[in-house]
Amino acid sequence: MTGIDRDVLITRVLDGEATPEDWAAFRAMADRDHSVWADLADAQQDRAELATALSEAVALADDIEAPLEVHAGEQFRRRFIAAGGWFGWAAAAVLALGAATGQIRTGVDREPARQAGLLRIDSPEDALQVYMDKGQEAGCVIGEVPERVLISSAPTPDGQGYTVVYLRQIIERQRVEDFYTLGRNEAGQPVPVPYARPEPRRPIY
Amino acid sequence: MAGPDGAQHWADGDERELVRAAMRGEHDAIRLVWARYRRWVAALLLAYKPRQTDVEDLLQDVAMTFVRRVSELREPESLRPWLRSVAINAARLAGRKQTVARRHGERLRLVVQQEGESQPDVAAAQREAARRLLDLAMGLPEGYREPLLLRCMQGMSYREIGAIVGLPESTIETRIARGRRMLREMAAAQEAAARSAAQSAPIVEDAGVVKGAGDDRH
Repeated sequence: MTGIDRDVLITRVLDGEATPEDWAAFRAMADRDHSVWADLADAQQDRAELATALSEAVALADDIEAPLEVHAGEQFRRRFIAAGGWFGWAAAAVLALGAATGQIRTGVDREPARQAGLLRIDSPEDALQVYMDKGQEAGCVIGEVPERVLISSAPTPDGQGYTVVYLRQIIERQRVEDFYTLGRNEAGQPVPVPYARPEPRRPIY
Repeated sequence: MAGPDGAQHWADGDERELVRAAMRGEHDAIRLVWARYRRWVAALLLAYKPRQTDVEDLLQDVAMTFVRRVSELREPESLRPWLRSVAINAARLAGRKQTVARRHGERLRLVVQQEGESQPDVAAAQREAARRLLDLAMGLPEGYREPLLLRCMQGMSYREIGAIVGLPESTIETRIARGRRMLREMAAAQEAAARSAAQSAPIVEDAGVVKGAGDDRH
């Protein structure tokens, strides 16, 4: 039996992967050469020590949480890219909003008030629309992403529907001198770090 | 799936479904998948990172990539091989950049010392020996180091390790066995060197006179 065979046999015994044949071979080998027992004992000690040290070394991983804030930003970015440009996306927005809220409001019925210089705000939706219109005129608002990110949902007490809490996503545009994203410092606290423009990516696995 | 109840559901649930939920973007699932795999990722980083690079920094990079791209996986089974490649890439990139080290080894040593203070000396000595052994393991060739650490880390079977690393089970088994043998030989060589150094070290006498070992001339 060569040296490596002996090592493999000891490893199988050590790792609980030895078959009855392996055990028989191990005993036969140990009968011929008692130093096999010493090798097994050494290997067992090494394995225990290595496991202890490794466990300590990787325990710091417990402090590293998944940066979910990055995920939200990524979802937003992908939706925008997937829309394939502003015009197609804008058309989809009307449909999605209509399906979600039943409150499609075209520009036609607002136009008379705007032309007359009257901006009547009777509801939060009106206020938002004014913000969108003004923002688009000024170039700092691009539009609203049609999909809304569901945060929570629960049946209403009367059982007639659901209360949903969701995120509306409005795309704005600004010129900035520096570009930062949220990273983490040594204590795991969020800190701004200079942001490199993402490269186009390939599918993974 | 939201809230603690959701997390509990996944904790008891099927691993594939959990990963699928993470791929769909469910935050609780993403959080839980990462929590399950982060120590494993840390072990991989240890196996591949340059000595002077901080595991913590690399872990944060891997966590970021995981969160950003987990939805691009085609199937849950790809998670571990993919995470492995992300970890290895992060470690190798750190090596290429020659990132200035921060003191992971020293921090580990500090932890050992602090914990040792409240425990018997024997335990402290054992932990110190364990730390030395891990340092030695970091010096094993890459192909031997990773299977050995993965086996140590979560008691993964040879087959599981082979599936992740992309090598036959028999190769993994041989590498673990050979890695253990090399580690033992390295430890023995280190002990011999330490003994030899102790024997040849100069002796400081009470009066402050320094003389070499075996030097009996007066």
